[in-house]
Amino acid sequence: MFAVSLLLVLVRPRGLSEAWAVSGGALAMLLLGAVAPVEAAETLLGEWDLFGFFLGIMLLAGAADAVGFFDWLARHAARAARGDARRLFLLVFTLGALLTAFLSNDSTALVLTPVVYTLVVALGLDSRPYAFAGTFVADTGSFLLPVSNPINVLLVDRFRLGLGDYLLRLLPAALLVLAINAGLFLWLYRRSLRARFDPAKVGQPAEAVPARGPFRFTLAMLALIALAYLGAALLRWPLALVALGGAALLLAGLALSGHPAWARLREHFSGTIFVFIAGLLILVRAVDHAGLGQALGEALLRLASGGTLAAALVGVFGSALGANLVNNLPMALIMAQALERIGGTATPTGAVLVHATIIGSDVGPNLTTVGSLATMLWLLILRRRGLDITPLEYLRVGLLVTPAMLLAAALALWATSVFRP
Amino acid sequence: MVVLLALDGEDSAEFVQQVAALVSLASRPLLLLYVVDPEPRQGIELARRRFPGRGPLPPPREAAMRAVETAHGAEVLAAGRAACLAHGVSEAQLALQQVEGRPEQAIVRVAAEARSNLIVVRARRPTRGGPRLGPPSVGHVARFVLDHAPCPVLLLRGG
Repeated sequence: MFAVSLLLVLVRPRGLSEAWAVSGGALAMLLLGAVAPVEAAETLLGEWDLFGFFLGIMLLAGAADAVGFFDWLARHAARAARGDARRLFLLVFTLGALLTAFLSNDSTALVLTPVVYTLVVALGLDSRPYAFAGTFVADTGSFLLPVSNPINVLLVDRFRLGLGDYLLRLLPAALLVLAINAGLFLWLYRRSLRARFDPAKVGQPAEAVPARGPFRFTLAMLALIALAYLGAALLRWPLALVALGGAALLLAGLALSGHPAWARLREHFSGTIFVFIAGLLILVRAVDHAGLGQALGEALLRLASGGTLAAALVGVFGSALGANLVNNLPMALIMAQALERIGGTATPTGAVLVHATIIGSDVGPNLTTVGSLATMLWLLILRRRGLDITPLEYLRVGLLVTPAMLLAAALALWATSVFRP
Repeated sequence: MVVLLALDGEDSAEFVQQVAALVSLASRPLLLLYVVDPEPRQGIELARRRFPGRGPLPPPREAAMRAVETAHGAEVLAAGRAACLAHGVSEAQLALQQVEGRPEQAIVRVAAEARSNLIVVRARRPTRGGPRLGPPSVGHVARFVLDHAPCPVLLLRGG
């Protein structure tokens, strides 16, 4: 049933929503008695932090977009580039990494990237390097901090990871992977990035801001929320409290100022994501009852029996592969369940596997960009039928860049695990 | 004799100057063509599929992306038109066309539809770091046009 549900998610016959495919499977599990209703309710309530975090980041991204925050940032980057396409690329990449770090990967991939695309096309530049930069850095940068990806929130909660340990183990790997990504893209697009653009074509950043008062308020709130995220992670408080609380205060302030931010929120809000997550949680619970969680956990231990280096490689590449076979969210849930069964971070090997899962689930989707091999194959089939969709370019770039990043990250994780104080 | 000038968005004035030095533009109908390549935008839309439940690009954002593509294409064609007029071409000779699609396929298709007698296309530019000679110097768009054009092709080099 789990496999059928995932297959429906990937193939999406007749445009079937992923949420309904997964929730149909979850409902079947409940009806079959694979998961008791009480247990299902406990499972969902137990992940309130994940649900709340998703809601918070959607609202924050929507409010920021409504006041022109992303457009303002993009214009500042273009002005700072002073007509140099390569400099603009590096600025966009850095901007994407910072936004991902504090506003989560959704903001960079779903909001910043289209904004940057619009800007560079208007400047007469080849948009490919920048489109790729936006979509890739959203994943590459998404394990900088616990808040950078909802998957991190899931795993940090499940295994009670402290901020200090998280940063010691993962920050060097994150910075290394970002450097590799940027370097490979600078080489891959070296011809396009030799171009220059007319700085006079870049509009004033202030022109991207419809109302200055609400904009300044939003800037201040986002800065406070970023600090609050760090504080909450340090104190091991639920990150959803910051995301939701910050979003509520921000939206209340914008409403009081008369800013119509609410009208733009619909563009960023998706109710079906919560149905999707809820369905996945129940499905994974049912799979765990069938013993697959334990079996996977034991398999991971066997594969990682060579020590922490083996654990890093198995965890990173295993979760990355799984993230591309299906989707990184179900993969992370399955891995979390399996790792819980084998004791989580109680052993050095377990601790490395947990952190490796974060890396593989976050960076792995860059391999196919659309997030799954099956979706990629489906798009290729559509292309053969005459529909002009070309995912091959993304697959080519993904295959070139992602394995190198994953290997470097695994080695960095192993090194920080071995040499940590 | 309809001459199709496949503008690539870079220095249209130089493009027309090179053509004028090789082909007499007097009294010939000229079709200036610019092709908007939707692949980068489609890639951004495709990347959203990795985020379940988030749906397609919001209509205002997609409209803004398409609008800037069209506006940029119009700028390229306007620059090409101005360069042609500067070389003594009359307005009556000029036709401007902007289409969307894979550039190499669109150029060949439009050339066939317009019954062009000559296609002018530019090779990959060495100023971007590409080699001056050899197969990699041509570029995939010009290579495809050379292989599939329904009429003779003038390949511009240099720049």
